[in-house]
Amino acid sequence: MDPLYRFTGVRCEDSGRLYSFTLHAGETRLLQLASRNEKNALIDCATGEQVCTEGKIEIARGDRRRRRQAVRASGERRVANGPIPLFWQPLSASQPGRIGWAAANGGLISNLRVWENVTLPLWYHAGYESVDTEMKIRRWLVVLGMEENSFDAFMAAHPHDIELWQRKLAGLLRALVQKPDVMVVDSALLGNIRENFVQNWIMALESYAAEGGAVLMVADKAMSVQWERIE
Amino acid sequence: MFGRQGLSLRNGLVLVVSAFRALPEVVRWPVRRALLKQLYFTGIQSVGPISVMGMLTGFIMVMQVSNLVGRNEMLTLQVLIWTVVRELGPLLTAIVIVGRSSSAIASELAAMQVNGEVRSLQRMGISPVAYLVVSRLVAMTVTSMVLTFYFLVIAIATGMTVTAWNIDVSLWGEVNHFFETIRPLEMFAAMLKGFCFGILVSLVPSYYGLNVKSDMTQIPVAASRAVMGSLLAVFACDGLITAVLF
Repeated sequence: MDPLYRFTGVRCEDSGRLYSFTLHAGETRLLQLASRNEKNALIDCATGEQVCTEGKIEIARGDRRRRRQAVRASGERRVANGPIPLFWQPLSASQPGRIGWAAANGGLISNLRVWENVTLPLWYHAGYESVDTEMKIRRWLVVLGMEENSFDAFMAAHPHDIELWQRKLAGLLRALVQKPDVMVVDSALLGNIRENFVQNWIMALESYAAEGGAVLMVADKAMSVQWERIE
Repeated sequence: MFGRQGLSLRNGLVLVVSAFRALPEVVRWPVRRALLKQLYFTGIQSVGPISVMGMLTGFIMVMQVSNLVGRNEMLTLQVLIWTVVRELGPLLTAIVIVGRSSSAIASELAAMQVNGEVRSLQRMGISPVAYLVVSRLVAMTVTSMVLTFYFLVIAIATGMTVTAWNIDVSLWGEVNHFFETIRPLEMFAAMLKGFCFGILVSLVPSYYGLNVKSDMTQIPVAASRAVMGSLLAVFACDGLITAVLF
């Protein structure tokens, strides 16, 4: 598994502990913190919104497919078949959009429709209107457990017209459709929703990781998710 | 040294620099979409009020000047150009835009700040300045220039029609006199003012809106400060351009 994202001696504002770990492609891991403030501070650092007060957060340079292509183009067949050379770069210097974020309450922009919210980070970072976006969205909506006959009404709604679980679903869908290398998930996303949705959404995150991404769930209380914990 | 005012000035300058540096972001599709919405809200929806105000301004100016100078078509036209093209056109257009859009921008951005939506954008790797401010800056600047020109056309056309009807002269002759009388510098000044006012009435409310922290009661305060700040900035800029050009 390729390493994707690493914390080295990281301390965020309000945080008493130092964190050092590496997330690999395909991994889904859970980081449990002591308080909500600590969780928010860590999410700020992990998404690159704020710089951590101590230590460094880095991401593997370039996406894995491109690195493989670059190695193949250089004619080094032996290296191309073996381990891929790895370069780390600070989060602040990385291409925006490589870290995705699934907010506790969806984190939707109120003056945009759900459809515009879901496509916002994808189209902002890609710089163009991706043609297969609708297909991707429909596919993920099925995985997330939404009934197909309610897709259109859901996508056309404004955030204030839909229920909390739908806002949460839209926030998670937005992160999945963006297809970042690493997705940071606020564990409160899975709170106050029906149990079958919790199972579907966890499965969606695992299936996203299985496609080559990594998921870091940040919690401030004990979670029932059976993911490997970061100690 | 300058306390809170100094800090505000510094933050304001930071926003201005960031907004101009982020201008190339306007090519991104979501920013373009936000720009189109702003053009519709500030531009298209302002055409009605601007038309009415332009007609009334032309009518009032001509009636007042006619009462003052009598049946003097040339002087009436000259005063119309001095007052409407040089000053009232850009200024009244800016006032309409401030009334319609400044408080709306400030309260919308302040509400987004209070609801954590600005933070949400940052966490998605989207610059709030690029997404929220640049679209408004470009839309307001374009709108302000276009509406200023439109206001001038409506006000002068109304003024000339009223003069022609009032003192019984040929409307076509008045149009010819107008183009003989107006100087390119006057049109340039009007368009320059429209351009500068557009920048000011987008950046000042954006500054007040984004400076709100997390208190809901700050939203109306930001809106009212944005209106006053925009008006002061527009009048100061008007004085400066007038002093430099005329």
